[in-house]
Amino acid sequence: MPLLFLGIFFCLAFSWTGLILYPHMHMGNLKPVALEVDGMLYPLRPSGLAAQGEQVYIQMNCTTCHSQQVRPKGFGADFERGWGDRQSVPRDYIYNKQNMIGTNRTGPDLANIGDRVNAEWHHKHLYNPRSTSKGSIMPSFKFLYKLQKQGKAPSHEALKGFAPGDEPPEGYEVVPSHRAKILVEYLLSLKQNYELPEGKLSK
Amino acid sequence: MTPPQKPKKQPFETAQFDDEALHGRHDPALPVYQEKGEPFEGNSEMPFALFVAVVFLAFGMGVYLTRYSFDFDFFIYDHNKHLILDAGSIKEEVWDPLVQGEKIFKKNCTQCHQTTGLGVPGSYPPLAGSSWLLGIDAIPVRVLLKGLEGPIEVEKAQFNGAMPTFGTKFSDKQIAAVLSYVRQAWGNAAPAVQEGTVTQIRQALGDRSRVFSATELMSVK
Amino acid sequence: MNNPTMTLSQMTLSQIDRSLKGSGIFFVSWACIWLLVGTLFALITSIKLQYPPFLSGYEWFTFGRVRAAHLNVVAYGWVNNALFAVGLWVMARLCKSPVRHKGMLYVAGSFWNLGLLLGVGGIFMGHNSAVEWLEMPTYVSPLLAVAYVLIGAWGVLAFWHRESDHVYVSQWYLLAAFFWFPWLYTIVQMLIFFTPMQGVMQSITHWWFAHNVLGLWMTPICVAIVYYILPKVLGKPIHSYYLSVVGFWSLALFYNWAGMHHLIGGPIPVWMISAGIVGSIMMFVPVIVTAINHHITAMGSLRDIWNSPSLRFIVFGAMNYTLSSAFGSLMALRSFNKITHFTHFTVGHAHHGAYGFVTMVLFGGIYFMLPRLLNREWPSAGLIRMHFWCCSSGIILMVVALSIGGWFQGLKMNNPNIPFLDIVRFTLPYLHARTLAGLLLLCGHVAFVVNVVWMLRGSYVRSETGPTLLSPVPNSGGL
Repeated sequence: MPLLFLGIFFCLAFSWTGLILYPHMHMGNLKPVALEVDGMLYPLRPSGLAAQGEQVYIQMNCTTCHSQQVRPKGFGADFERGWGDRQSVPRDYIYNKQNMIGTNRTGPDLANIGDRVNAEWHHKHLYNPRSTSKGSIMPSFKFLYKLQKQGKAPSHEALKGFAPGDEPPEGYEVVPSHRAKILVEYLLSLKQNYELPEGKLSK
Repeated sequence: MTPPQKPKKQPFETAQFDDEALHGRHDPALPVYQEKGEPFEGNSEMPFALFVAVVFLAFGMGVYLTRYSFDFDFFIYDHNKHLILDAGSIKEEVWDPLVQGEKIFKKNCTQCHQTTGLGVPGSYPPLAGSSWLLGIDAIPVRVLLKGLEGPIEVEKAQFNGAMPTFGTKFSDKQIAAVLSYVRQAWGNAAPAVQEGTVTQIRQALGDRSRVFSATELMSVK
Repeated sequence: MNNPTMTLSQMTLSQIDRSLKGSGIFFVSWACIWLLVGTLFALITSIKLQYPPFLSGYEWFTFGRVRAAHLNVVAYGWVNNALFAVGLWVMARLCKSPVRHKGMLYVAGSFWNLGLLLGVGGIFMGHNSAVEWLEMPTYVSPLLAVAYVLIGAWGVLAFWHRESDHVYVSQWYLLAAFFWFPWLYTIVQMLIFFTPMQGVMQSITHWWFAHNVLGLWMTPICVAIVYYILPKVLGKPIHSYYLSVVGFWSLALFYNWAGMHHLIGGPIPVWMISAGIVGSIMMFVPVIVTAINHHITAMGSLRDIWNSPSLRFIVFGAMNYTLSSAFGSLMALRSFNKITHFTHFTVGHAHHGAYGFVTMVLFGGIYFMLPRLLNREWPSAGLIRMHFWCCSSGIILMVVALSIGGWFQGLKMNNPNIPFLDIVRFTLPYLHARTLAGLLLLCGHVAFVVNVVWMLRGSYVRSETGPTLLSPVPNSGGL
C-alpha cells in the first residue's frame, strides 16, 4: 500500500516539477531588454494609471471574452486580421499583475489594442459598444460614466457622437468616471509593437 | 405521481440484533437489504490488440515530442520554427502598396470605418463612395497627417466626431499606401496616392498642431 | 418480499449509512441549492450574450461577473458538495469500517459553503480575480483550503482505517483525488495570488490547476462512483481488474500534463505545449481502457440499466466520459486546436465534460445514495423520468449546438476576409440554442430538487416496499 501512496504522490510531483518548478527557474524572472531603436528598456513599464486600470479590467473580467496574445504566423489569422505584427512572447507580460492571455475570443484579441484605436473611440465603445461596432454583443459599461449638468462650456472630457437613443438630455453631458479613464489608460498601454530578441516583427 | 401515503412500518421479526435504533430504522424490506453484494473485479485479460495500440500510441507520441520539443528551449515559441530553419533564409516580402495598405487599414481603421468601408451610420462616416476621399488627394492626405474634427457632411449624412492624427505614427510611404488602398477598395476608383505627394504636403504643413475642420478642408486646392 | 437474513457485511453497511446520514443530507441540500442558483446564473449569462442590454445597467451583473459566478457556483457549489456527499460515502462503504471523525465533515462543509457564499458575493462586488476557475476573492481561499484539507484528510483517514481486505478500484481513485486536490489548490493559490509568479508562469500554473480540477478531482471521483454503482446494482463483477490498473495509473501519469493544451499558440515555450499535447493524446489510454471496463460490464443488462434511476444517469454519464475525453484529446492536436481554440467549441466541450459526465454521474450517485441514507424510497418515478429527459436532451442540444457553431466560428475566424462582427452575428443562433438548452436543464433540475425535498420531508413517500423504478417490471432487486 505504501506503493499506492508513493505512486499517487510522484505522479503529481512529476508534472509539478516539469511544468512549474523547472520553467519557473528558467523563465520566472525575465528582465526587460534595451533596444537599439531608442535605448529604452522594453517592454515599457506601464504608467501608474495604466497599472491601476488593469484592476478595472480584472474586475469587469474582460478576459472572459478577450484574449491578449498573438499566435504565430500561419497559425490562425492573427497577423492578417491586424491583431499584431509578431507572435507574443513571455517577456511581453513581465509587468502584468495578473497574466490575462485568455482562452476565448468572443471578442477580438486585445494584445495590441493600444496600437489600433484612441481614447475617444474606447470611451464611445465602452459607453455603448453598438455605437462603434454594429452587431456587437459586448455589454455596455454605462455605469462607469457620469451624467452631469453642463457647465459654462462643455467639458473637454465629455463624450461626443452618441448612437440614437443614447444622447443625454439637453444641458447635460456624459463624462467618464475615474475608473473609466484608468481602464482606457490600461487599454492604450496594451501594445507589443517593439521588437524583442526572441520576437521579431514581420513587416 | 403517487398519492400521499404514510409509509407502512413492517414489523421487524428476526430479533437477532441488539441495537434498538437499528430495529426502528432499518426495516429489512428497505433498500440496504435489497442490495447486491459489494462490487468486485473480474479477471479478464487485457486484449492483446489494445496492448499493441497503446505501445504504438506511446511510440508515436515519443516521436512527436522529439520533433516538437526543440531541446526544451525556453525561448522558442513557434512550433514551425523548424520550417524556417529548413528554408535557410526567410524571403523578403515585396512591398506592394495595395497589399501593405490593406494591412494598415485593417489594423488601424476598421474599428470605426469597418472592414466594409461603410462606417457606422450616425457615428463614423463611410469611405466607400465618399467624395471627400475620392476627390483630390490633398484632402485625405491632410486628414491623415493632422486629423479632422467637428461637424462634417458626408454623402448627405451628418457626422460629428474626431479622426485621430496618423502623421506621427506612419511614414509617408505608409500613408500613401493606405490611401491608395481605400481609394480603390469597395468599388472606389480614384487614382493611387504617390509617396512624393505626402512628403510635399507634410513639409508644407510643417509643425502645425491644430486638427483640420471640414470648412477648412473645403478650401484646399 | 422475504425478510432476508442480515449478514454481517450488510449490518456494517447499514451502520455506515446511518452514521453518514446527517452529513450526507447536509451536503446534498447545499448541492441542490447551488444547483438551482448556478442554473439561474447560467441562464442570465446566456441571455446576456444574445441580448447585451439585459441587466447591463448594474455593475454587479455585468457579463464577466455573472459568468464567473455561474462557473464557481456550479463547479464548487453543486459539483463539489455532491462529490463530498457521494464520494465520501462510497469511500466509507468500501472501507467497511465504522465511520470516525464525523465532526470533521460538518466543519469542512460549513467552511466550504460559508466560503462559497462570501466568495460568490465577492465576485459580484468586484473583488474577483481574472483567473478562470479561481475567480473567488483571495480572502475566502483560506476558508476553502481548510475545507479541502479536512475533506481530503477525512477520505485518507477512512482509507487508513479500512477493514476490508481487498482494495477495490474505486478506492484508488478516491484516495488519489482526496490526496491530490488540497495539495493542488494550496499550491496554486500561493503561486498565483499570495506570492505571484511572473507573467506567463501564472497562466501556466493556472491551466495546470484548472485542467486538474476536472482531471484529478472530479473525474477520478466520478469514475470511482461509476466503478462502484454499476457492478453493485447489476450484481456482476467489473469486467477486468488488469484494465482498471492500467486505467488508473495512466490517468494519474498523463492527465496532469494535459492542461498545457489550453495555451496552444500562446506565448509559452513550444516544448511545454508539446508535452501538454502528448499528455492529452496519451489520455486515450485511460479513457479507452475505462470505457471497455465500464461498457462491457454494462452490456447485456441494458433493460436493468434503463429501469434503474441511478444507472440510467450513470451509464449516460459514462458514455459521455468516453465521448468528451476523446474529443478533448483531439482538441489538443495543433491542427484541430487552430480552429477550435478561442471559440464556443471549447465552451461546449467544458459543459460536455462537467455536465454530461460529472453532473450526470452525480445525479445517479445521489439517486442511489439517498434512499440508503434515509431509508425511504424516491417519492416520484415521474419526476425522475422528467429529470432524465430534460437533462439529457438539454445537454445534448447544448453540446451539439456549441460544437457546430464553434467549429464554423473558428473556421471563419481563421479567414481574415470575414469581418469579425459577421462572425459574431453568425454565432447568435447557436447561442439561442444554448439558452433553450439551459431552460431544459432548469426544468430537469427543478424536478430533481422537488423530488429531493419531498423525500427529505417524507411527503409522498411510496407505500410499496420495492425501490422506485422507472418501468413497472418485476423487482429485480436493488435500484
